[in-house]
Amino acid sequence: MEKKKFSAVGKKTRRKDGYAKVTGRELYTSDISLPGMLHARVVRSPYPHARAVSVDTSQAEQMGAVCITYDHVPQMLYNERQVSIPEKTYRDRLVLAHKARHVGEGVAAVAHRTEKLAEKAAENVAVEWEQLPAVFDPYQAMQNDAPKLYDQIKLGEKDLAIENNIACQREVSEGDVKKGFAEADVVVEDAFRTGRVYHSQMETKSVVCRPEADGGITVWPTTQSIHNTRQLLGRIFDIPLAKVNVHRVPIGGAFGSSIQMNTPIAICVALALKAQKPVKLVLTREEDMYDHCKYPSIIRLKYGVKKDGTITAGEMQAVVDIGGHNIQAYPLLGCMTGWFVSLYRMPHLRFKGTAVYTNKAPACAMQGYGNPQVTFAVESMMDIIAEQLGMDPIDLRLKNYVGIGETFWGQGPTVRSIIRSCGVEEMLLRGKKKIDWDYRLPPEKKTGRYRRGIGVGRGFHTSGTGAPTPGEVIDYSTALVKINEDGSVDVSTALMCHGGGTLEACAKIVAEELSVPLEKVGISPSDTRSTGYDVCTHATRGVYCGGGSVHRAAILAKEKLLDFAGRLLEVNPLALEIYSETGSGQGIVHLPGTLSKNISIGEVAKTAQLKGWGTIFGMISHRQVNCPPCFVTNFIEVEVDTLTGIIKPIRTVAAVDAGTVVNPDLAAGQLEGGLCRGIALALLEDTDYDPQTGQLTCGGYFTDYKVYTPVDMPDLENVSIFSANTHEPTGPFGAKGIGEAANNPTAGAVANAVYNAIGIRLKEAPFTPEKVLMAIKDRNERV
Amino acid sequence: MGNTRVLTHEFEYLPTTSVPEAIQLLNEHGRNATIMAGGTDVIPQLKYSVIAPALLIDISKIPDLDYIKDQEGHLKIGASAKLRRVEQFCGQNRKYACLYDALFSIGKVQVMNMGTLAGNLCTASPAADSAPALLVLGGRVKLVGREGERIVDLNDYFTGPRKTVKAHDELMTEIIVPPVKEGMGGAFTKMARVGSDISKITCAVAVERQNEHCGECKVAMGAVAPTPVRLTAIEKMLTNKTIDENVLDEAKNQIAAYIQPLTDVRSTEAYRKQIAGILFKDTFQKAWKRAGGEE
Repeated sequence: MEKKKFSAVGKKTRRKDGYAKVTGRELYTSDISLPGMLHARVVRSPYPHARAVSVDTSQAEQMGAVCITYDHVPQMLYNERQVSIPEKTYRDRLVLAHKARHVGEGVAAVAHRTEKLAEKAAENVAVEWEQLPAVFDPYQAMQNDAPKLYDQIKLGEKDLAIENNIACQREVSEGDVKKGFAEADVVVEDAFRTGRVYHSQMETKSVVCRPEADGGITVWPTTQSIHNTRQLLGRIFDIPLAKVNVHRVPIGGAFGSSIQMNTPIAICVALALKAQKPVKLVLTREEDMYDHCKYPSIIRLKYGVKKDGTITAGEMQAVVDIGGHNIQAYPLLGCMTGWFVSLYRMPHLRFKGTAVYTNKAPACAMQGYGNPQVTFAVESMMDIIAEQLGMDPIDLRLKNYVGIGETFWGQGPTVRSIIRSCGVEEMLLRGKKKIDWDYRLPPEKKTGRYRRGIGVGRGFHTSGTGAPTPGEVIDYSTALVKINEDGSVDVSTALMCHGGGTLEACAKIVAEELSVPLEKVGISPSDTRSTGYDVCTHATRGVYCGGGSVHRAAILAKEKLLDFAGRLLEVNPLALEIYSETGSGQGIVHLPGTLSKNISIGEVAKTAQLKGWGTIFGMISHRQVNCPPCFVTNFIEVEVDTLTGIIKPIRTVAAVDAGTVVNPDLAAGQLEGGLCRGIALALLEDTDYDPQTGQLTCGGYFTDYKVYTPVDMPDLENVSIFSANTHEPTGPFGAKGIGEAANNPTAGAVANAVYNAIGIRLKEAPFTPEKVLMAIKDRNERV
Repeated sequence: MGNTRVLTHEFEYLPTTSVPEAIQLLNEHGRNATIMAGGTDVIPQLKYSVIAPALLIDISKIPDLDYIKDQEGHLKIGASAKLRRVEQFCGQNRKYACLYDALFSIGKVQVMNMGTLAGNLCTASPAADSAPALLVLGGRVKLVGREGERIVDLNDYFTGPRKTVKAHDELMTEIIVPPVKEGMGGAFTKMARVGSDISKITCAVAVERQNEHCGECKVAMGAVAPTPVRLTAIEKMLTNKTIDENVLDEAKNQIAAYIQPLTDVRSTEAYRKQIAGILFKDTFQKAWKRAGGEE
């Protein structure tokens, strides 16, 4: 393994946007105010399934509002997510709907001078509704007599009839599962469920749009991809892309909920084009909660295993309740296959996934994209199997995990590459020691009211969706690295930072490559006109793919820099090196072994300017040809109060194999955040619907939608974090991703810890005290 | 769908600086006026469109109501004293440990810095955190109207969910906690979904202890009935008894019969009934230890 001393990469530094963020000076979309700007509100369906027979905006218009209804928007079905190739993109929605398929779907919108006037105008839009029967359960939705959400949608350019509310299905198989199960000594089968978690990102979806005099638009949205937003707006509103400019705005978290172009963006653009004035639309929290959530899953798993623990076959069936629109269910099912097959080796496997429409808020990616759901089921099953075989759960995992040299297809059947770095074994063995695994008692040895248990969960995520062959998913980034005339550096890319430090990592990668102090590397503001295409900051691809392209651009800039320096020093540029001089805060180009042959980067750039040689820069559009897994292992100790059913996390060890860790403290923060959300997936979070009204039982308010805060987590001294000693040869300075991986193993680890505490296998997350107490009571009655 | 971002309802905002002025405004405007002390209940209710007053009378600026004082053993808390200050005061006085637990359980810094004890009692939610604690401490409230003032025992104060004996033109100006006897110990416990949350169920106990003998005993619960409730039947099972596991378990097993919880977004009727006894026993034991100076 390459071991190198770094000057910027891997250092704890003060992040560049830190001051602005903690002092409130960072400008988010909701802070943007333009001269003459109007404020928008959306008229939404109070019913889960209803046709808007008529929409009368005359009163709102008399109040001075600019109004649009579904009649005033382009009648083009679109899909808000632009990551898959067009032939695999399911298009089922309009900018404003004729027919609402969930409570909160927009049918009209208004704009007025203030938000309050807009809200009043919206209240005065009269909608005549024809209520339709609604369906909330995916199994009921698949019945022949169930209410139909759609007759026909578009798949690419083709019409696609929707039968039994099935949005899409996917089947994958390798080998011969029949044979595999026949070879097994033990066959285990079980079913697991996870909830409909709301992203709870701090910033609600927001957008400002300014119509330009030339017929174009300028847009400041909450998004994870400015380029996809631009292309989609250009297509919907038929504007040449050269006239559509989308700015990168700092985002108050996303967790995947802005991979797609959020619904308010197109509504705001339509209003701005009609008003011919800038328009701003900021969702309320309750609107936001009706706009997106995690994919809830029902997973049936079957494994065949030999007595020695070798897995002979695996089969998974998944049913996903996607809500009222299909945002990215088809690639989701592909990924769910990938999550399943890439955790543990199976010579024979089969996957069948079904995505079903229901009259609920549309589900979309959320930290893991089906991975926490699948891994919860798989990791629970690993413990079930280990118990049946009388094997230590860690030994079973060590025997079967997919590791170095093996084919990895986490992102689904079309994204395959070879694993070149892997810290799985190191994390399991070091973590085992840290949590005192060997002193763990079986549940039957535990007595008393409060019982503690320790569980392990493995997981991984992909670093992006790159692969040697182009598949169904687009993945590349563009970067420009430019050396300024004083030796400082500008980095320009369309990557987003969701808070995790992606752009900070890019700056460190450039500082490292050019040997320039980190303070001298600036991240340029970014918009779609001045940057090349970047697919989206999603799929844990920021550092590996985005940072990879930035690294390559820096290498190109460095070549040019050394070329110019070589000319000035009269030295072969290939012999030159750069070091960072702390005193002057400059990178110095020098010929090793000499004292006279040196020149600062600033001097090279300035001289190049004066001599008319041009700007020193490197620019590249780059697709990574690998998709390395970032592995995470969680050990969790919980305490179960057997009288109340309350489960408390007591102690955790979280280990990550992210290759070279570029931002150590931010990576630790990601692991802590992932733990918190993962524990909440297991124990707390879900959005529940009232089957009578189709409304959220929490009303869309945080008063009754709860997330964990630090007081609910183990004390910090009981949270131990470490990284595996690995180096990814295809990553920038050996780095891989981390973001989603942090969350993926946690729910399974919690379920296994609970089992170790009380001997009850909980399979339906969240394990609320109400459910746990009932399970304990049922068990006690059986015994 | 509500709208917690834009408040379109228009109302007049009147900060008052004296109690007589506030009472006069209440009398002039009748039911069109709403009193606001910290706003932590009133503002959300406005946003949820639960209330739509024409006039909001802000009493938080009345200097005469911002106090916490000990008057010959009586704890007196003015209606505009912030929860944070009350919490800090109780944290320094062991005899109010029960009220301290209750206020601490609210957990949210912003709410503690804005909200008031009087507001908590005037909103009169069945789940109000301070109510069970004040009930077992024998708390009383001072209500001032045009005709003068009256002192109401909290036992007689709550009449239903968000309903009390306070007339609309009366202003709650003070909460009074009578002297706490020597040998009394109190505790409050709360079950909720997360650390800062509206309760699923709460319990407060105040108990007088001489060795293993229980003298006076008071038990109250929240979020188990239309109002915060005293459980006098349970108290009788313990008063003047020697406390052992059997006595406690008997009381624990009886609790479900005396409460009428509902199923709502926070929990279920069945769960609340199942754990009410457990919560009571935990709370009693904590109070008992404190009474014995063991904690």
